[in-house]
Amino acid sequence: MKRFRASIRLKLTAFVVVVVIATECGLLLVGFPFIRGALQEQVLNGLSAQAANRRRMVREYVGRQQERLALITSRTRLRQLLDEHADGAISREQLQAAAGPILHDALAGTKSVSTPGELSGEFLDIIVIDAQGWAVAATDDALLAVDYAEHPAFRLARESFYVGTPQSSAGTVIVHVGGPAVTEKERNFVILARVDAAPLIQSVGDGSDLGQTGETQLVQQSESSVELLLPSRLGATVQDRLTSDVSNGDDVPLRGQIAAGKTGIIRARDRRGVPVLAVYEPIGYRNWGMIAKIDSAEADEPLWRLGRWTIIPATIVLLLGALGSYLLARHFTQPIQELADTAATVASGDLDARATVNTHDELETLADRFNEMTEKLAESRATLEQQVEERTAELNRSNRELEQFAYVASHDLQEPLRAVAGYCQLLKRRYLDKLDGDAQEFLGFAVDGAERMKALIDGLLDYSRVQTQGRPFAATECESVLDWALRNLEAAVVESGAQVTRSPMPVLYGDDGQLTRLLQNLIGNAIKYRGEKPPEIRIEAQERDDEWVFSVADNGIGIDPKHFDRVFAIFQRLHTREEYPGTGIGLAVCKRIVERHNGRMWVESEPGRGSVFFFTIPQVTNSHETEPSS
Amino acid sequence: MSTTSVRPVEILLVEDSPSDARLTIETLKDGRLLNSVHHVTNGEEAVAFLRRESQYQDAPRPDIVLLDINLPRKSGLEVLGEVKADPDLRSIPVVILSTSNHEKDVLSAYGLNANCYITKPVDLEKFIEVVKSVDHFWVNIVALPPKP
Repeated sequence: MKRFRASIRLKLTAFVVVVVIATECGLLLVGFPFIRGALQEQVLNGLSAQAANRRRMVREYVGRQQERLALITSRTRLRQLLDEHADGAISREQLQAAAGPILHDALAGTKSVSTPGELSGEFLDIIVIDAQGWAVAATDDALLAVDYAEHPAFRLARESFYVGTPQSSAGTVIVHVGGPAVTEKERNFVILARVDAAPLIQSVGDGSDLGQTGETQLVQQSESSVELLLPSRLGATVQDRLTSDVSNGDDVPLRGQIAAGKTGIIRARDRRGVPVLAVYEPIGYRNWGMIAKIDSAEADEPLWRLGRWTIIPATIVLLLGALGSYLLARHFTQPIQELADTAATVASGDLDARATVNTHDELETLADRFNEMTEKLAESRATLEQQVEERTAELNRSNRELEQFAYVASHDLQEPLRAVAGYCQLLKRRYLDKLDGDAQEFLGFAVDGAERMKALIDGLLDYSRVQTQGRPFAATECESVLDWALRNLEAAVVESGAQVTRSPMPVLYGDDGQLTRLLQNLIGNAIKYRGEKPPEIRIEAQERDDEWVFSVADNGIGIDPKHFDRVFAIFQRLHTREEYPGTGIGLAVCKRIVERHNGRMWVESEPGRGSVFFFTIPQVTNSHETEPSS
Repeated sequence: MSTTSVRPVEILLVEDSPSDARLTIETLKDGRLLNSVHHVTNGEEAVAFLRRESQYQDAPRPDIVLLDINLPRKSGLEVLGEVKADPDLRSIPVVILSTSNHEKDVLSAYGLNANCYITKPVDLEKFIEVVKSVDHFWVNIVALPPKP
């Protein structure tokens, strides 16, 4: 189960990246509305300026037409002729013949002058209408004898100066202008002129200051909608009698604003369905208004451009921050890594490893302390090693001394003992009949004592040889080990009538000679310490955890639990030699053999009900004894 | 198998311990064996006896050698090695006598082709038995004198 681990380097870098992103987002959140407001205001200011400019042009245009009409109506001769006609002094034909040239003259006047920067527009024709609505004089005879009584232009112009809505006529757009003309004799006439609207269209439709999608529109408010009065730059034509480009339901507030003569801003969709930003201003004449609009996309484009241009430095800052934090983190983690590596090297046993950290900060102090610690560790290990060496040498010396003792015991001690015993026996053999009863008895004790001493010395040697004379461990078939042990005991088994049963035996790692000895001793004991019934002996081996548990169970005399420890001690006996002969070495040797095999040995028993001797042998031996012979 | 019945068995006893030597000789005397024991006390002398060198020029060729393992100057195993390496002496049966039943000793001895290996018993009866058991491999060759 491996937990996710992130390096400090990664964490610090991630932290800085998060901080930078958070900062940038914060700045954008705070700054964006300001910037957006400023940019939008700039756009609106531009639109307002254009709208105001066009509005001024339209007003000038209207004013110019009014002046021209005033000039015509102020012509005295014309007014006299009209009075004469009204008095019946001259016929209509006479009037036309006399007034026609005057009107033509006025017409020509509008064509001749075109002041630069001034919005004029050529008069196409001029008509004079009497109070009843009859055209009485005109620049073209074809225009005469037309009844204008129901014409809206006539009715409105009778009251005051009038500029009509632009109308399409034979491929050109014309505007009717008209106004009242009052003669000397207080007779009312109306003068109408048709004016070429092309300059007006050109000026109002000029989009040179309005970017790609901006346009200005001259509109008038009608009953239900806002109507476009002139073709607009982007394709709305007068012929279509289009409602305003800014409509689709959103023109209601616009209409209200225009009607109320108010200036305003609106975001809406135009007739194309495209979102636009629009500014409108009343012209100040009738219910006309000027709209300046631009597509939202274009209006907002600087904002997006700004956004795009903000992302690049923001990304640069982010990358620089990440790089900086990575380098900073590396500056901190490199010494830590160095320390960790050194610690790993030290942990693997190389106490001469030292961490090299030159950061002149706490990490260097840490590394120095670490090095000091390792130094101390190395020193103490050296001391320990020296001590171990000394102790080992001591132990080896003492082992050699023990071996020496074994030699002394086996040879030098036995030689005098053999002399004592041998010659006592020789005496007994040759001179027994020459000795009296006491001497015979003394000689008997001497022989017996020598024998016992020999047995004890042999037992001691056996015991010490388990450790010093053991063979290297090798894979050992316990089946054959048990076979050997039983074969060695064959005579005793037959003699005692013992029933021996056995479980399958394992293969394990050990000294087959010693294991044979071990089983032989235990089985031999089971026979030796039998009760009155014939011995029943069961030898088993069971696998438990990572070891084999052997047991030798009998139905013999058993052992009192308080003696369990005593039976395994060297030369300790529970019975007199008269009851059971022996030196008390057998189980001590058994225990020593088991211990050499890294096992444990114990006994379970109840007096009179038999004993079970257990011992364990590890399945895989990790014994220092183990030096498998190849 | 015919004419040797009157000749005593020639035994070379190589033993440094006077008490062991005497005990062995006494034991052999008690045995029902006509023998002649020649006793030397170290390995060098034993080899000299066998090769009939210097003062042993007239020595008989022993029928059996009883060789103690632990000897001064030249150990019993060295003597055994030399005897078994000598084509003239190789055929003489050598019985190793020792106080120790060290397996190592046993293996070295057998490795050197000793004919028999016997732990020196303290028990006289057993000792006689051992000597008799040694007898077995030439008792069939050499006619034994009748039991005294």
